[in-house]
Amino acid sequence: MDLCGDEEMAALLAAIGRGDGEEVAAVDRLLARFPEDARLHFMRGSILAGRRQALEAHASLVRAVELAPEFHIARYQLGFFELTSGEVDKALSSWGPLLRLPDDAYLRLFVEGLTHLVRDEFEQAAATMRRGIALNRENEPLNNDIRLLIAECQKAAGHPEAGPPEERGEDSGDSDGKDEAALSATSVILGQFPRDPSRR
Amino acid sequence: MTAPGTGPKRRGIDCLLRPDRVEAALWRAHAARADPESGRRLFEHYRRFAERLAAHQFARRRPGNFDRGDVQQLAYEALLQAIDRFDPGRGVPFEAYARIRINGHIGNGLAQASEAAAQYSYRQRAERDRLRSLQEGAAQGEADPLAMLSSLSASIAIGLILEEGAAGLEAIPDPAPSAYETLAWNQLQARIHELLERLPEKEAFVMRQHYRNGASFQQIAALLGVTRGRVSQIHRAALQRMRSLLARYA
Repeated sequence: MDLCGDEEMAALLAAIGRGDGEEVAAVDRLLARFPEDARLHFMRGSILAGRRQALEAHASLVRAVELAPEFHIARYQLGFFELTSGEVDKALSSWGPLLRLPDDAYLRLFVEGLTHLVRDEFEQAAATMRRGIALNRENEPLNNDIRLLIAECQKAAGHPEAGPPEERGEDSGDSDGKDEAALSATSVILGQFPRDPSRR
Repeated sequence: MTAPGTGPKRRGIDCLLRPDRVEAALWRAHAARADPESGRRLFEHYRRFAERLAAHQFARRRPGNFDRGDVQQLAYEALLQAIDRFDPGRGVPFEAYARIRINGHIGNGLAQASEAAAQYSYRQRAERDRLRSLQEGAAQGEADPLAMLSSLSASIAIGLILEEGAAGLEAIPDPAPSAYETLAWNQLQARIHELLERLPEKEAFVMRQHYRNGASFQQIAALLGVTRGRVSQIHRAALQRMRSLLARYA
């Protein structure tokens, strides 16, 4: 399998970071040369998800996981995308392999927390996700996304003031749905991916 | 548990759902299965949207021979067609695509309904005019009610045959039970049309305008510069003349 080299990947991430609207075209140029590089498909899916091109985004995330079943962050984001699409069964199915990760794997805890959340078990959801955040030292943007979700759990459970300020979005100014979506997309592309490109 | 003033308890999934993704997932499921269930879910998803368009269209039109429910039905029909024809892969938002079709279908449907209503109303008026014209003559001529009815029926029948010919109905397969009856009917029709040509000029004009061209007694009166009552008299006289000519043929 021919994969994109480190230099080209770094150049691509720099191009994405500029945010000049040519991000998908830049990924597509590399995909034309490396069609089996799951990272490129994952990046494409993440960018498209941020642009609300949901059909194409899902297809790219699915392709990433098909090409690299052990690409855990891609699998987690695929399941999360499906969950936010209202496809709970599909999400649980996509996440299945993540539940076989060790007990201290933060992705596993996030998945377990989200599973509590869709069962309306808000307290357990928040507690499990907090444990995940404590264990996650490598992907802070994802932690930020989860904190926002915990704040939502607290509101839904009738405790809007519970939890630390960052869970209530007080410092970020990103507490509404639109900003949350933008933060997720940005964090996926610029935060989660480059910090751990080897984790597949 | 619900905090005071926070309304009904939210479901966990509600914290997560993003409308654009939910919509895309419905299309994805429809593309994968294209079964009635996935179609129904899409219809349900956009039903409110179609209802809003129907309400808007209903509100901006003058009152007519349709009600809110008729407009809503037209919106639903167009929504189903739009779901069937939409290609989500093109990147056009469904609501933008469907809005044009739903509004167009409502416009066409209401225009057709008005035309049908106008035709129906013309038809009713024409029949009323014809009957009144014949009744006036019968009141003067026939004393026996049965004979009067028979006379009326025969005259109305002549008119209907003339009208049928004008509508080109002879081209439609004849439901008559035998070849002989079909032939006899066709001959009768041909004879009545011949008789029309033998009527005095004014009577032939009234009959042609009314039965062949669909003009009302009122319109013919305006064309001839006479009263509507006079047209009614000419109409009655023409039918009576045709009946007696027909009896002579028989």
